[in-house]
This record gives sequence, structure tokens and C-alpha cells, in this order.
Amino acid sequence: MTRRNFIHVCSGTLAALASSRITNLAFAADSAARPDHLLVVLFLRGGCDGLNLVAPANDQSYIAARPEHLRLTDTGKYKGLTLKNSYAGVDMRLHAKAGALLELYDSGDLAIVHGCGLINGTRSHFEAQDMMERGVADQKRMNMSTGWLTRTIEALQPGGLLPAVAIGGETPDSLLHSKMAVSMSRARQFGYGSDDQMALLKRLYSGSGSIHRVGKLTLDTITTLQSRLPRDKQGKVIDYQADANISYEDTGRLGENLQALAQLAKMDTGLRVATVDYDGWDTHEYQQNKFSRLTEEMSRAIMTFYNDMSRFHQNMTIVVHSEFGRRLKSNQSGGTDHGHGGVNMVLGGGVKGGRIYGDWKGLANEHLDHGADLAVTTDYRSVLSEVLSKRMGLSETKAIFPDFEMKNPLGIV
Amino acid sequence: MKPSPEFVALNRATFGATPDELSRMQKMGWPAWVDEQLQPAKEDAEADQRISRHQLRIKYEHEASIAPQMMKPGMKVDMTGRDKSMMMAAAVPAAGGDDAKPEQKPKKKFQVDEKRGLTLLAMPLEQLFLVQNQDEYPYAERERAAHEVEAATIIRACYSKWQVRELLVDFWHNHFNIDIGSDDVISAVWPAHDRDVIRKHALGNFREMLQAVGQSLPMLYYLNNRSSKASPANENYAREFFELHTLGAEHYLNHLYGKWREVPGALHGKAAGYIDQDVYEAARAFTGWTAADGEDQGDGDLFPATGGFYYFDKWHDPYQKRVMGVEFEANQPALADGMAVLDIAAYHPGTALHLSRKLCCRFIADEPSESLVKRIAAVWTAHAKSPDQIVHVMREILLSPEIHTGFGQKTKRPLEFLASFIRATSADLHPDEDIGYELGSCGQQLFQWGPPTGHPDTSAYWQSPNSLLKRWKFVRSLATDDYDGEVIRMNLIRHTPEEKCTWQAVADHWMDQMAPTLLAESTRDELAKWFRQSKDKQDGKPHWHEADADITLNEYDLAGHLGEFVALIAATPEFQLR
Repeated sequence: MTRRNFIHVCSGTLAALASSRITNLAFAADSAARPDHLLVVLFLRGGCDGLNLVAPANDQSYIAARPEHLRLTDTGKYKGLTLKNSYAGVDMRLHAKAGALLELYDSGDLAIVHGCGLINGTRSHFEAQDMMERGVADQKRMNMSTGWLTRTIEALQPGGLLPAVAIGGETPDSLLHSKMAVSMSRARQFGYGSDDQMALLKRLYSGSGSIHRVGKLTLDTITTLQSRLPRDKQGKVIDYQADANISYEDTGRLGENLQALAQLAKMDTGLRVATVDYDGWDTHEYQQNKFSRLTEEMSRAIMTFYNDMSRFHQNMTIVVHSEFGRRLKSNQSGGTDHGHGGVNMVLGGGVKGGRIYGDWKGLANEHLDHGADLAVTTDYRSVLSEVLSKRMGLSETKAIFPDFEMKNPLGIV
Repeated sequence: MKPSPEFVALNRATFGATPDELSRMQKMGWPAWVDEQLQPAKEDAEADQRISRHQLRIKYEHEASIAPQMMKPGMKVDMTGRDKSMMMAAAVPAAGGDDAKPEQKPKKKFQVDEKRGLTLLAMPLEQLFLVQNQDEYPYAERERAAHEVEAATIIRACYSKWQVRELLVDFWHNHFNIDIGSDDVISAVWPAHDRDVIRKHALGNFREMLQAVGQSLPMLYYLNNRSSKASPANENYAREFFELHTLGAEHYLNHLYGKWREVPGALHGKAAGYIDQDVYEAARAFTGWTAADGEDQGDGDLFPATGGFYYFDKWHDPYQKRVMGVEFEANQPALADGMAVLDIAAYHPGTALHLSRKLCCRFIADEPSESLVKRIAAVWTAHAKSPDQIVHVMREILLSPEIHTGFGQKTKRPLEFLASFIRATSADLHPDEDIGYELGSCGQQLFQWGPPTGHPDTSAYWQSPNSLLKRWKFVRSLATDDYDGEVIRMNLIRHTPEEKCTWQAVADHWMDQMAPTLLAESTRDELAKWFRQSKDKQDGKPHWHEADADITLNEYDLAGHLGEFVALIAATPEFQLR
């Protein structure tokens, strides 16, 4: 990494990073689940090219399958960042624009799982997302009427005022038909009319239909948030104040959403589960620029959020995943088509980070799925189950992932 | 109280049933109303007039050596010049005596803040492509064409006589989803796509529409087929073509990956579904289907700059293929491979089911009955080659018994919600960019939904706290003059009958107007009670009016109070549903 790049990635977050490291040292031994642990699920929609994010720079099959600009190399313009504690004998590297993630990895809070994903071989975005968000791996189970986070939040039996949120837009299918999940963009926008108008709507939405239930949840959430938003002496809601030395500048729309989440978490409303989406990863053509931009923004946004949430480090786990990885061999449009195995990331104070997990067999044809794609060697539910049982305090995950039995935990948390 | 069957049907076949339209429909009868809607005349008096008078603001700052110049229809562009950066200069009326080249002049800051008519809507594709797609054109100018379509779409949803067609246009835009934000050139030619592809075929033939969409520059860009060449081909379009545009994911037989012979019917050239190998083969068939975007491909290959479809044989994979059990000979004539794929998919019984289900889902219920879907699919198939196939299909849907029953099985989409509010209140809406933005924050990104699925079409998506709250706030700001009077005029007092001016009568009038037969007695009582409550002028505290006390409609107070009241009617659970 050049000096210029280093400053580019790290300015504004160096001080905060230093403090997060200190926090880690102080609490490193405490990895027990806490009753108020927060799980953040960041979904990279569109199928993130795991082989452009974390890849074996010297793998001959990799080199043969893609032009240089769609690879991570060990030298030159597309040189990747070296990842310590990688698979034995493999020069695994991280995308050059993911310097912020490297810092988190080196600090020991970020773990990477490669060859992770849905064991079902669908190459359809929407089937893959539908299955993953329902916590299943079979087309026949896509008719399940609840998402895995819907069931998680029910199993947690949270007592808080606002146990689950979907930040940024509408509710994703992982929270499908949740009676507790609230979708929102910004907490301060959650307000409506005068007290008498609110009271009227509460009466009109007291029925039993689904629209009534959603309306009632909305109105209750307004009441909760309006009473907790920090205000000045005149009663005016004040802008969100991130932790000292933290700035969400240059973190894009993902950063905006994560900032909204940080604000909500710090309002202490009993938040246990939060989802954030980041789309645009369906890079069938001209991937190089798009992928670099997305990776840089994602890395910065995650790092900024993590540092802003330093007091939650021991009490929060962030999982980053995508519906599938992309084809090993690139197409003639300078892009990659839908593939199979991809990259998962897990971040938090209780994560045994700084290393890559998963069974890496390499990219030779005989090890690929259908001779074309990175094989899935770790079921995505394996990672999630570990987080749920060891960090969220759910000893039993059968109800959450009904068709899945954990055989060999990775030991990631 | 249950809504009347006639209201339920009309509310589903329009962007919102109004009492006037309800009584007009009752006079002519439902079948005659449906027939009228399915043969829309060229004229659309109110919507056309509003569109022709509409002034849409454009505001931006721009730094350049010459003033950004808006193109007007009829203005001549030098189409022989290949250098796009010169187009803008060419569009500027010659300045007397100044022959200096624009790039040699020092840069200046230009502030543009003006209102313009919707002049790009009728512009031919080629002209849109040349005028709007200039690299040096300010961003706001480049996306102007798409904003004009957005404004016209909202106006038509609210005011068009041809409501079924407008609902179908919205349906097809959603079915063949394209995110105009995925490339500037898509915005540039968007009026042509909306007009010559979607609107032209909305009540036409599916096979023809499928081809028109597949060969439209916005789709070629959005799903990347424009850059697909042998080999490996770019699979993006081919995959979504099967999964979303035609057969649907329910016909993706991925458990038979690599085993095409085991796909039922495949050995007889009639595969029941598709597998990844069909995606790969179809992608090969569509290689070379690209856009006439003026790009220089090197080696002397310069694509024409018309914004239309372009077949580039050099990129085409000519060898034999097998798509869903149908064998393609090697070295077929130009376009034949792709045309054969269009035929296979468009006429497939799975496509008939998938599209029938989606149409029933849009017009009747989130989960339409299988028997209804099969009935519609039979009509779809019987008219597969009719030029008015979709008219036949829509007639079957709209005349089905199911159209009258099961109120509340659909949740209004935000555009339906907005338009139903405008229609119910007879408000005068002149949509600016903020209106489109608000629809987006309610969850409907008009022409800007990212993934190729289009927006989900079920209540599980639309009934979210975020969306619901944004709807409540959106109509409240419209109804209570938060907006510029140039964007919306509610005219609530003018639209309130003067003859019986009691608090209760005014409340009843607006509840009947906005939600005829829709609200339960208890809901009406709650709403009317709130309406009779008014803020005391002295202390600002609520006090109660007598139910039968006369009121004076021209009171300044009442305007705001009425605005709040109609916003609350629009916020009821019943008003969210269809």
C-alpha cells in the first residue's frame, strides 16, 4: 500500500482505531454471551465476487481464469493486501481498497470465512436470497412464512421497546412477518402529527388485520423514539453526535445507514437484531471500477461504524454475507457471472479474528463446483448458528435453522 | 360495513375509485366499463392537457466554457459529427462573429433555475440519444428526460381516463424492471422506451413486447447484453429473461443441473422448465445483440449512434446450441438464434402461467387461486399470436367473479396510494421531482428500483412501518400546504358542498368522497369526532363543537383543519388497501 493510500483509508479513523484496540485488550477474555447482545446482519445484495475480495494471488487456476484487473495479484497495479494466518501455503490477499478491513482483521476483531454460502446450487439471486433469508437451503422451503431473524427475535423473547430494526428501507425477508421488527431510515424522522392525531390513529389501528398490527407497531415506535431522541433545552431534536474523532464522511449510503443504526443502538431501546442492506454487487460487466468503489465504501463504512460503536464491542457481532459468490472464469464483458461459494465476514469483540476460516481446496477444476465455481465448503448457517449460540445466548438453533445440524463448528466466536 | 362489490372492482381497475367514476360505471354496467377501458382512444383529454401545460422545474449549477443549452424539438443537430462532446456546441445557435472553439474559452459558472415544459416526451429516439446523451451535458440536463417521464407517469395515474392502461403500463415497467440510474444513457432515451416499447405494447402482444424490450437500449444496458460477446457470453440478460421476464423461477429446474435429458419433455423439444445450461445457451444465442450507442469498438468498428438496437455479427457465437430441448443449427442467419429463444420462451406454457399469476397478483390478490390463474393462462395461450393478446387476458381478469370479492387482499403501492388520494380529493397536482422522491421514500422507486425483479408485489413488502409512516406523512404534507402551491392545490373548501354546512355534514361528505362504502361506522364516528374538535383561537387548546352547529366554509382555519382531516382519512387502515 502506498503512503498516499494509507492516509486516504485511515484519516479520521486512526485515533478511534487506537482506542478500539485498547478496548479489545481490556475485554479480550470476556467472550460470554450477554442478554443484550446485538446482532447486525449486513447483506451484500447482488452476489459479491468473493474471488475479487479475498483471493489466492498465486493460484495458477485463478491467474488463468481472469484478466489481471479482475484478480488480486502479489505485485503491480492490482496488488492485494496480505492476510496473515491464512490457509497453509496459500498467499491469500484482500482487495487493495479494503485497507480498513485489514486493520480490523489485524486487530483481531474480524474473521473471514471463504468458500461459504448456500449449499443449494441455485444461481438465481432471488432464490438464493429467499432461501438464505428464510434460513433454509432448499427450493421447497422457500414458502416458509418467516425469516431466520424473525425466528431469532422470537426465540430471544426480548423485553426491550424496539428489539429489531431494518435500517434503510423496507423490511428484508430475513425479518419476514416479524411482529416486532420495525423498518426505518432515520430515528428522527419517526414522528407524526399532534397527540390527538396520534391518539386517533391508535384507535383506528386497534383492529386485528396485518395492516392494523403494522400500524400499531409504527405508532408505538413513534412514541418510543420521540421520548428518547436527544433534545436541546428548547426541546428540539439535536443531530446525531458520533463518538469523538469519528466521522462518517466518505462512507456513502452504507455509512449513512450504519450511522442511523449507531444512533438507534445508543438510544438504549433494547435493540437485539438489526439488518442493513448494501446492494450493487451484481457485476456482470466492467467489474473492476464498480467493485473497487463498492469495496472501498463498504470497508470504510464498516470500520467507521465499528469504531463509533466502541462501547458495544464486547456486546455486538456483525455478520456480512451475500447470496453467492461469482464465477471463477470471467466473461467477455469484463465482468463475472453468478457463481457459488463466497466470502462471509464476522466482526466483533468476541470474534476470534485475524484469521481465515473454512476448508480451502484451491481453484483447480476438479475442486470447483460443476467445474465452474468456488465450491461451498461451509454452510452459511454454520457461521450464523455459532454466532447465535455463543454470542446471542440461544443454546438451541433448531427452530431457527430447521433443516440444519451443526457438525463441525468453525470456532469463530 | 363491507365495501360494495362494485367499489372493490373499480378500486382495483383504477388508481382509486371515486364516487363520480363509480356512478358512471354503474350507469353503463361493469362489462361495458371494462370494454371501454380496454379500447383506449388516442385522446386522453385531461391528462394530455395537463401534460402539455406542465412546467417542471430544473435547477443546477454548471461550470463550463459555454452556457448549457437546452434542446428543443425541431432544433437541428449536426448529426454527422461523431464527437459527442461537440454536440452541445452544435446545438447552440451560432453566436455572431465569435468563431472561437468552446473549449478555448475560460470556464464560467452558470446557474440554471427555470421551469420548462415536458418537451422531451414526444422526441424521437434518435434525437433523444444525440441531444440528451452528451458527455459534457450537465447531469441535471442528462437526467431531465427521465424526470419528464416520471412527472407524466404521475399525472396520468391521477388524471388519465384510461386507468386500466395506466395500471398496465406500471405493471410492465415493473415486470421488465430497469433502473434508470444504472447508466446515464438510459435516462437520456427513457421517453422513447416508455412510449415506443412499454406503452405501445401494454395492451398488445407479449411476444412482440418481449422482443421490443430485449432490443431496447435501456434493457440492453441495464442487463448488460450490449457487451455480451463470445466467449464466455455475459449471462445477465439470459438468466433474468427466463427467471423474471418469461417462465419465472418456478420453472427453474436446478435439481436437474447438467441433465437436460431428464427435464420432462426436453427430448421432444418441449422442456417443461429451464436449467443453467439453457441460460448458458440462451446467452450464447443473444451474443451480438447490442445497442447502436455510437461506441468505437476499435478495428474500425464504430457502432451507429441512433440509440436503437444493433446486431454486431463479430460478437455472435455462431455454433450449434440447444435451448430447452430445441436444437439450433450452427451458422444460422443474423438474429435467428435470438429470435428462436424469444419464440420458445414467449409461447411456453410456463410463461403463460407465470405472467397470468403476476397479472392476477397485481389486479386481484397477493395469492390468487390456482383455478383463476389457470383460466387466465388458457386465454393467454389461446391468444398467444393475437395482436391484442393482452386485451383478451385483461378482459378475462376484470370480468372474473374474483375481481369483486376479497377487499384488502392487496395493499396499495405508493403511486396507487398517492393517485387515489389525489383522485378522491379532486386535488390539482403538478408533480415536481420531490413527489417522485417521496414515492421513493415510501418504498416505490419509480424507474429506479435496483434489482431486476421489480418491486415486490405483495403486502409483506408494502406493509412495513417505514412505508406506512412515510405515506401518512406524505399525504399530510400535501394536504396541509407544506408544499409549494405550484405543486399542489387541494381546493378543499371549493370542493365541499355549501348547502349543508354542519360539522357532521362536512365530515360525512369527505368520508363518502374518499372512501365510499369503505369505512366502518365506528371508524366514521372516530374521524367525525376528531373533525368536530377544533383548536381554540385564544388558548390553543382543543374544544368541542356541537355536531349540528353551522360552520362557515370560508374560514381560514377550516382550510388547515380540513387538510388535516382528509390526511387522516387517507391514513386509515382501509385507505391503504385494495
